[in-house]
Amino acid sequence: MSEHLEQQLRDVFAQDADEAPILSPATVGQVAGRVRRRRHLSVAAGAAVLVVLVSGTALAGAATFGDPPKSRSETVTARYGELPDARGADCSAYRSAGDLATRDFAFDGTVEGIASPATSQPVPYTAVTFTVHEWFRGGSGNRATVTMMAPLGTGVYVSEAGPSYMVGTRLLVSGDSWVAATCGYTRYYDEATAAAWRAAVRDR
Amino acid sequence: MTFEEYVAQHGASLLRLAYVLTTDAYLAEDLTQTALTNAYRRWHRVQAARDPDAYVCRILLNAHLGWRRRRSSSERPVPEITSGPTIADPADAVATRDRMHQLLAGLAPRARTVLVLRYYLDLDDAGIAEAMGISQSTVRATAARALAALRVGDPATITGEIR
Repeated sequence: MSEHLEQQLRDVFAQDADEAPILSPATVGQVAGRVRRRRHLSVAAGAAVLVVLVSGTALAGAATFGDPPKSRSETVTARYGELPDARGADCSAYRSAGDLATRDFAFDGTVEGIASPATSQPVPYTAVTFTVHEWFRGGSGNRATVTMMAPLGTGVYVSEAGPSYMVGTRLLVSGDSWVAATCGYTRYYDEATAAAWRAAVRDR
Repeated sequence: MTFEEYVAQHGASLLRLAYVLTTDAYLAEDLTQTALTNAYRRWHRVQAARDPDAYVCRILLNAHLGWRRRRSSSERPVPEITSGPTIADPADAVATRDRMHQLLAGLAPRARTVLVLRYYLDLDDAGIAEAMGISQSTVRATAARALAALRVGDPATITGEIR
């Protein structure tokens, strides 16, 4: 009886392992190359490596290591403009960089760490820590932790619409009470938009 | 070995282990990501370890058990399982496996982890003790209690064939 149970456990676990997500050798090589080139950008490149690895091509070109997206049709990999917002948020508010004047804080930063969101929450928010390159408004120092919607790749949002960022992603972030606002108030970094944000705050 | 080489060689097996532990593809990905992130942050220690693979495995197990402690409220409830007659029909193999999954899900995370390490990774008690940071006697006692619970849980589960 005992040996039978033990064999059943071996069989069940082996079958479970056979059904695990697959890492293709091609994807592994591709990602390893990215890490070698860009590892200095990431405080914890491991997170990015695995998000890309386990998500296969869906996230292979994502924001972490700075390569331009190959196709705008790959919505998950889009790295410019506003973050894709989750769950049908009202995105009519943001019109231009000038709207930043209505926000408590705004900065240019690179994601340094992402806390695990509580899966019990209907819309999982999580604490995201940034290395801050420049404060446009409302803060100081070289680090900031804000509350944001959990990114794709953290479990609950893997296959759903939602923000797509990870450790190493450079973002322009703004919001109130240390909660990042969506709908364009938090965006992928690009120099032109950063300049517009800088100017918008300076002109106020 | 560089971090990239390690990921290339061991990333898939880590992900499989994470999946066996969690039986959830997304959680497994998240768990593996967390483990590798932590491994990267202390990569010099991983490289210096007597057995780097065991070191990273331990990181993954710690993350897994830590999550389970923090997310205890999200653990899946297991319906009451009633004993029934053994059905020899091979078509019941899938259902038998499902019942085994239910029984395993009813175990404490640490007990289930011990079984995974023993019957999936084929670690001996010393290896399990080292991986989980507990004593060998605790491993033996935990495994014995877990196996007993599985036997008592549903006799039908342990008499059918799993395919």
